[in-house]
Amino acid sequence: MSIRASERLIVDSLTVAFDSGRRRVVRDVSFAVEPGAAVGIVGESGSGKSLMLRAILGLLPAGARLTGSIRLGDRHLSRLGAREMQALRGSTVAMVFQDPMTALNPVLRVGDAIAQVVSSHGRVSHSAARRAAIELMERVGIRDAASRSGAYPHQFSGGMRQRIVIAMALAARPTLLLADEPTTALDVIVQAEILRLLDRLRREEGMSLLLVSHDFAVVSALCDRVGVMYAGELVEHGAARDVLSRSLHPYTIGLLESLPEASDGGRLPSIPGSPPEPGDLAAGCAFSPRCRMAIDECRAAPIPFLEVTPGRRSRCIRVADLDVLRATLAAEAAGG
Amino acid sequence: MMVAMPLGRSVPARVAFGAWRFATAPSWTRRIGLIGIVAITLLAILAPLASPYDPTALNTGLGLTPPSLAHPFGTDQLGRDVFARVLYGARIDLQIGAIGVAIPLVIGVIVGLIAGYYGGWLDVLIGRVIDIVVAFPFFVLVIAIVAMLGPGLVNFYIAVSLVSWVAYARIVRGETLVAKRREYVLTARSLGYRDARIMFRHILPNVVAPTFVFGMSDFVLDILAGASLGFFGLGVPTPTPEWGVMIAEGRNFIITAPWVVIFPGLAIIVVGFFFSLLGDSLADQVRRVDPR
Amino acid sequence: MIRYLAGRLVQIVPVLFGVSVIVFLLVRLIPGDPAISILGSRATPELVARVRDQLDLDLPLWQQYLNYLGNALRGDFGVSFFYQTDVSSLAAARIPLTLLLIGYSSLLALVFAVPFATLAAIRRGGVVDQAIRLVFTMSLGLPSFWLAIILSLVLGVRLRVFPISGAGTGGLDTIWHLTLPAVAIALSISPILVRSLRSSLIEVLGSDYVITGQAAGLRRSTLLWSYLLRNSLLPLVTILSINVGWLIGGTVIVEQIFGLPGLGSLLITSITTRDYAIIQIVTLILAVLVIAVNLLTDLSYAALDPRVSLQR
Repeated sequence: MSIRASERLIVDSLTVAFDSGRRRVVRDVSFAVEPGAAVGIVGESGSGKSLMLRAILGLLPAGARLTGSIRLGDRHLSRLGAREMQALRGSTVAMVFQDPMTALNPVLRVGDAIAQVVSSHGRVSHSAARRAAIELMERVGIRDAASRSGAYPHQFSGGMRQRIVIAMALAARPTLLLADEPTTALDVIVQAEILRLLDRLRREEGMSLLLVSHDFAVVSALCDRVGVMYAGELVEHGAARDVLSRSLHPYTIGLLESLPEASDGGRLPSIPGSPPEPGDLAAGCAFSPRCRMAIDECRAAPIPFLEVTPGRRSRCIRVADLDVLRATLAAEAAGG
Repeated sequence: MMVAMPLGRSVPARVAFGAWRFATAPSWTRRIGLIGIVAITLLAILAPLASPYDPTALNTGLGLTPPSLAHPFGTDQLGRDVFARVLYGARIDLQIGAIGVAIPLVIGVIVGLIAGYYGGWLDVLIGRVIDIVVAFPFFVLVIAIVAMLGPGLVNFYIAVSLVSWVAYARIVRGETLVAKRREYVLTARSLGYRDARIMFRHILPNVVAPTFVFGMSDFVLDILAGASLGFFGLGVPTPTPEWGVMIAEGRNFIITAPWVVIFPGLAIIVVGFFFSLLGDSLADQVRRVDPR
Repeated sequence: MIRYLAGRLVQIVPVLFGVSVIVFLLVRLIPGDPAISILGSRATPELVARVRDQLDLDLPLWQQYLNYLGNALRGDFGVSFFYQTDVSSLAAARIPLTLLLIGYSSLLALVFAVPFATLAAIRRGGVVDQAIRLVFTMSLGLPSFWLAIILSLVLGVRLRVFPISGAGTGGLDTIWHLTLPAVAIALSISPILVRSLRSSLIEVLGSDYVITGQAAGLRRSTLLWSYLLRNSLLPLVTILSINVGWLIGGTVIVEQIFGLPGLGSLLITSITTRDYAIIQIVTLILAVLVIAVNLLTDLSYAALDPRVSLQR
C-alpha cells in the first residue's frame, strides 16, 4: 500500500490561455477527483485536455497563462514555487505520456532512468535505487528485468517502452496518476495489456487516476466517472456508465454514434464540420455551429454547466429533447 | 513562401511576388535588416554625393589626422579621407558579396535541380563531386585558385564560383528529391510536360527559398573572404579602396592612428549584421511555411 | 568498430582521389605557360624547358596525373623553387604547430560558446537570450584578420600581456605565444557556434523525454547533465565538424598575421613567391585534415549515441 493516502484533487475554473489571453485553450474547467477514484476526460485532439493535465503538473509551455485554481488536498498547486513543484512531481503527482517512442531519454539505460527518479526523491544509495528500478520493471511486467535494465530505450518495443514510462511514473510512489492518451500510440492488443496493467497498479497502490483520451473505450475500461471536453470546456460530466448509456450532450451523442462499435455495419455517421479554433470562439455554445439541435438561444450567450441530476452535469440547454437526436442518429446508422 | 501561388504564372512574376510579400511582412528583424542594407547600398551608389572628397586623392600634408568634423572618419597615411574611402569601398565589397552569391547560386540551383530530378548515375556523380569540393576549406581553396589565376577581382569571382556552387547544389538537390514526389510534379508529368519545363517552371520556385536564406550568410562570408584576400594583397589593386586593403594599409599605423583600421572593419561588421538579420527573418519565414 | 572503420576508410578513398585530382588540376589553372609563371623573372629558355620537364607539362593530362599520383603515393610532392627543398618535408615540419593552433582555438571556442548558447537556450525568449542573439548576430561579420590586428594591438602592444609574433620556444612558451592567435580564431568562429548550438539546445529542451524527466520530478542537476547535456553532445560534435573548414580558414589567416611558422603562413607566403608546389601540398593536407575530422566525428557518434549501430 502507498505510504501516503491519496488526496482529493479539485480543479476550479481552470483557464489556460496563450497570446496574452487571446487564445483560451482550456476554458473555465472545474471538476474533482476523489481520493482513490478514477476519472476520465474524453475529448478530441485540440480540445485542451492534454494542456489541462500539464497545468496540473505545472509544466505548461512558454507563453501560457493560467487562471483558476488547482488544489490537491490542502495544497494550492498553481501557487507553489519551482522547487516545491519539483519535489511534488513524481512523488505525489506523476504522469504517463502519450508517445512511448519519444518519452524516454535515448542516451540513458532504462534502469538508470528509473533509478534517477528514485534517487531524486529521497536519500537512497546508488545500489538501492538500482534495485528499486529492477523491482519496478518487474512490477510493470518486463521479464528478465535485471538484465534488461542495462538496455537502452530503442532496444524495446513500443509496449515495453510504455511499461518503462509507467515504471518511471510510479518510481516515487505517487498518490495521483495522470495519464495522457497512454495507449494511443500502441497497437490494439498491447493497448489492452497496458490498460490492464494501469488498472491493476492503480488498485494496488491506491492511487487516484486522471485519464485523458479521445477513446471512450479506454476511458470506460478504467474510470468510474467521465467528463467530456469540447473546445476547452467540459460539456458533460457524470458516472461513466451513465454518460455512455444515456449521454446528455449532443456532442457526446455524436461521438458515441461515430464509434465503429456503435454501428451495425452500416455507414459511420460523423459529426459534420470541425472543432473551432481557440482564437475565434462563438459567443454561445461552442458546439452550436455543428449541432443539429441548435436553436437561437444556444448561440446567444455562454451556456452554464448545469447539474441535471445529482452528479450529472451538462452544458446543453436542450437536454430534455435529446431523445430526438438519439433516435435520428440511430436510424441513420442502421439505414444509411 | 512560394507554395500558395497559382501554378500558371511565370517564374519571374512569382519571384517578384514572393519578394514583395517578403519585403512587406511585419518583422522587426526584417525591417532593420532591409533598411540597413538599402541605406548602405544607397550610400555606396551615391558616394560622390555623400562625400565631397576623392577617395584616391593624395594629400600627404593631411596624413593621419584623427576624426573631425571635416573628416568624420579621419584621414589615412596618404591624407585620403577615410569616410570617402569606406563609402567607395562599399561599392567593391557589396559587389563582391552580390556576385559572389549570384553566380554560385545560379550554377548550384541548376546542378541541384538536374541531380535531384534525374537521379541515377548523374546524381551519384554530382554527389561525388560535391563531396570532394566540400572537403576543402572554403577559404583555402579560394585562395589557392586565386594564387594560380593571379590577383584581382575577376579571378576572385572565378574562384568563388568554382567553390561555392556546391552548397547551393546540395540544398536544391535535397529539396528537389522531395518535391519530385509531390502531387504537382506528378500531375505535370502526367500531362506530358517536358522535363526542363517541369524543373524550371514547377519545381524551381518551390525549392529555391532555402537557397536565398543561405545566400544571405554566403554574402557575408564572401565579403569576408574578399576582404581577407584584399588584406593579403590579392584583391583589387591600389589605389582602389576596398575594406580589406584599407585595413592592410593602415596596419602599420594602428598604434598612432587606429581609425584607419577601425572604420573599415566596422563597415564589414555592420554589413554582416544587416545581412544576417535579413537572413534570419527569411529563415523564419521559410520554416514557418514549410509543413515539414 | 574495426569493421566500421574499415568500411568508412573504403568510402573515403574515392574522395581522397578526387581531392588529389583537384589539387593536381590547380597548377593547370595558371594562365599561359605555368613554367614561365613559376620562374617569373628568372625565366630563361633552358630553365623553362627544365621546369616543363619536371612538371611533365608536355605529356597528356591523364599521364601527368598518373605521374603526379605515383609520386605523391611515394611521398614526393615536388620541390619548392623558393626553398630549394622538397615540399613534403617543408610542410610536414609545419603540421604540428598548425594542428596545435587548431586544437587550441577549438577548445577556446567551445569554452566561450557553450556557456552563452546554454544560457540563451535555457532562458529562451527572455532579455538574456535576445541580448546574446543580438551580440552574436552582430559579430557574424567579424573579420578574423581585423580582430587579430586589434587584439594584438590592445593585448599585445598596449597592455603587453601576450606576445604578438612567433611561436615561442616550445612547450608552455609556445602555448603562451599561441594564445592570442587562438583567441582571435575562436572569437571569429564563435558566433556561428553559439547560434547553431543554441538552436540544438532548444530542440533538446523541447524534447518529449525532457518533459518526462521534469514530470518525474528529477533534480535540476540530473536534468541538466543526463538529459540536456548528454543529448547535446551529438549536435555539438556535428556543429564543430561542419565548421572545421571555417576554423581552418581562420587559422590560415591568423598564422600569417602573427608570424607563426605553420601551414597557413607557408601557404600565404608561397602565393607571392608563386611556389605552386607548396600551395598544392598545403591545400592537400588541409583537405585531408577536414576529411579526417569528419571521420572522427562519425566514429564519435557511435560512442555518444547508443542508437547508432556500427554494424551497417
